Amino acid sequence: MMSVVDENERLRRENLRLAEERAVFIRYIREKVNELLVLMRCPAMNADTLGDMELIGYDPIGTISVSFSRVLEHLKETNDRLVREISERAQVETALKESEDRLRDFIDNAVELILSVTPDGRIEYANRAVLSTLSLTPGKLEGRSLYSIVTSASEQGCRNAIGHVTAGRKAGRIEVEFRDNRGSCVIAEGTATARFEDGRCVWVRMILHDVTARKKHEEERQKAEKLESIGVLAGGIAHDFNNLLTGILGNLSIARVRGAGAADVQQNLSRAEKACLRARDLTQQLLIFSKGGAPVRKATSIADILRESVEFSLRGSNVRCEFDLQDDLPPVDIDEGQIAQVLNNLVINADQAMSDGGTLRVEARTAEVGQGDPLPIRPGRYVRVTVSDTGIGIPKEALPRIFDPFYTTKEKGSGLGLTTAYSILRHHDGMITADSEPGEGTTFFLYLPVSKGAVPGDAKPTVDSRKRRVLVMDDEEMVREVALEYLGHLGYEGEAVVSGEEAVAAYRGARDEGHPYSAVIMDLTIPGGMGGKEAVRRLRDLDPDVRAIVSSGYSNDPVMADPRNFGFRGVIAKPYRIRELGEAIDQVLSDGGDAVRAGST
Amino acid sequence: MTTLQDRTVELDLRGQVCPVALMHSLKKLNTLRGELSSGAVALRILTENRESVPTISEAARNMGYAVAVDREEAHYVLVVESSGEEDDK
Repeated sequence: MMSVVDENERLRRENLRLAEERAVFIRYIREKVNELLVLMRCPAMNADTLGDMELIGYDPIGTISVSFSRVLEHLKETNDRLVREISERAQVETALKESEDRLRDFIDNAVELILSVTPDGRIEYANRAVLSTLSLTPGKLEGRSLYSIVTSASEQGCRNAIGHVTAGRKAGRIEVEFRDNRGSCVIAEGTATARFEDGRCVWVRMILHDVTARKKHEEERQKAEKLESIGVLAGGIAHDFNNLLTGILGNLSIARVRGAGAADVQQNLSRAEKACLRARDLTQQLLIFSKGGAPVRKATSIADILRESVEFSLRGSNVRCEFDLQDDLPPVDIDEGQIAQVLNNLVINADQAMSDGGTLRVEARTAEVGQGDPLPIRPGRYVRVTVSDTGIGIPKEALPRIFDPFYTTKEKGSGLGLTTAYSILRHHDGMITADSEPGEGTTFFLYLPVSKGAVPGDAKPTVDSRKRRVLVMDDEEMVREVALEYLGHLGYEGEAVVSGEEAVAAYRGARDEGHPYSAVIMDLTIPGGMGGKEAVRRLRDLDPDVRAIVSSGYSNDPVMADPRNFGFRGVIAKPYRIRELGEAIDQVLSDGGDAVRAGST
Repeated sequence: MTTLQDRTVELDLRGQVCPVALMHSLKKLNTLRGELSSGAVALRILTENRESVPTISEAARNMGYAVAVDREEAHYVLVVESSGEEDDK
């Protein structure tokens, strides 16, 4: 049986054990609460500051755990918000980048030249078009002064335009002449505008477009217009001018033929005559640029003209000339004066290209141009003339442009010489091309169509032709006087009338009286009266075999180019010399009637 | 400081030291959690214990509240209220 003592002892021990257990639990709670408090940066507690019962009363673990759940909740909210903000920012950044890419793409691929410069002219940005237009590599422009890449002529204009907008005035037109990396000039125009921040100009934007080609084109057009107006002017005065020259030239010729005066007077007369002929050639050259400029073509032996023209043009030069002309060259249909002019231009160029002397080689051969040939002329037989020099040659880049109007590499060149040559050859249904090797020399090739007719026999006035009667119709007194004087010297009996009506009456009267005219020379245009064109029609009604020669200062008139088509048998351009008049009369007098009938309308 | 809340609850912890002051504060913050977050209520805590000021402030801020501390003559006043961030949601 258990005693009371034992029972008490058992209870005491049990209480002790429970007390120890409780102490263990309380210690455990204190430790854990302290760990949590340290986490919350709160000083740990001890038994002195907070009794066990008091500690438990505060439910510290419950309280702190609820607080922590709130902290976690707040962290999650914060985290969510940050994630959301980051994604929003990423979207904004993507949109911003896209927008920037698009703008950059626009600016980089713009044809316009886009630049920004500081108010003092330093380049901050230049787009791709600027670099490619000025042949610069990227990065070569930023930081440089705008004024270092513009021409000195354009600098002040740029400074003014930039000064204008930086002073806050309205956007201004600006024209800039850039110097590109290869030294040529690029003209650009557009607008300059300024950007202001806090009332201060921070940069100037410039949007320009390259107008070099347009400007050049405009210049060319202006030149062409000038050329055309020269042509119009020349066409307008040619008639009167050539009539005057006929008078001057005629009187000079007569004075020489009369043989009066000392030898030095003869020399003066000869020089004056040459000057007149030069004046005639000049009118002729200008007329080529007037409408038509049709050559007055005759079947001609090119060999004589080549020798004469080339030797004439090389007089006084230290250039040697070699000819290699095929023996039996067929005649070509050419306007002698015009082709001589072409040769003159070519020889002068060659002479200038060989300033230290050299050799000019002139060849002429027949050449067949076939159907498949790449030459821009009709297939057929041609005489090919080659003019080669041993001069400085033409640079490769210049070669394609040498026939362009006003293109010249010479300081004092007009840029018209080769253009004239080109124009003349075209009007002859021929062509001119060039080949050159810089330092070696230049060769020009001329193609002239072979004539279907024969070269008219050399005019040798026979005794028979003397004292024949020739009628001259011209409204210019000076021309009539000269013509009559010439005819007298040539052994003809000349008579003169002033209009077509008078010519028809005189021709009829002379025939009725039994002293018919052997030939009639008529001016093409008679202001206020019947001209040569109408008169020859009437004369042919009277006498189908009439030997009429058309004479005019308008060498570009279609009648002059094709006189037979209008009933004339010969042509003579004013002003003419005595020899030319003699040849023209002899030619119509020796002309059989067949050719006229075949060619007449 | 003035608050825009409808109601201010005051918790006077003068005479209490950390961590008891913190325990009282946390209990109150837990009890008023909904009203504090919505902005209906602001909690005004008075304490003389200097150590408790940063402890309570940091705990409240970690829970997402805005805390303003003012020093009066003999004690500190901590005003805990909604930071307003939740309104942005």
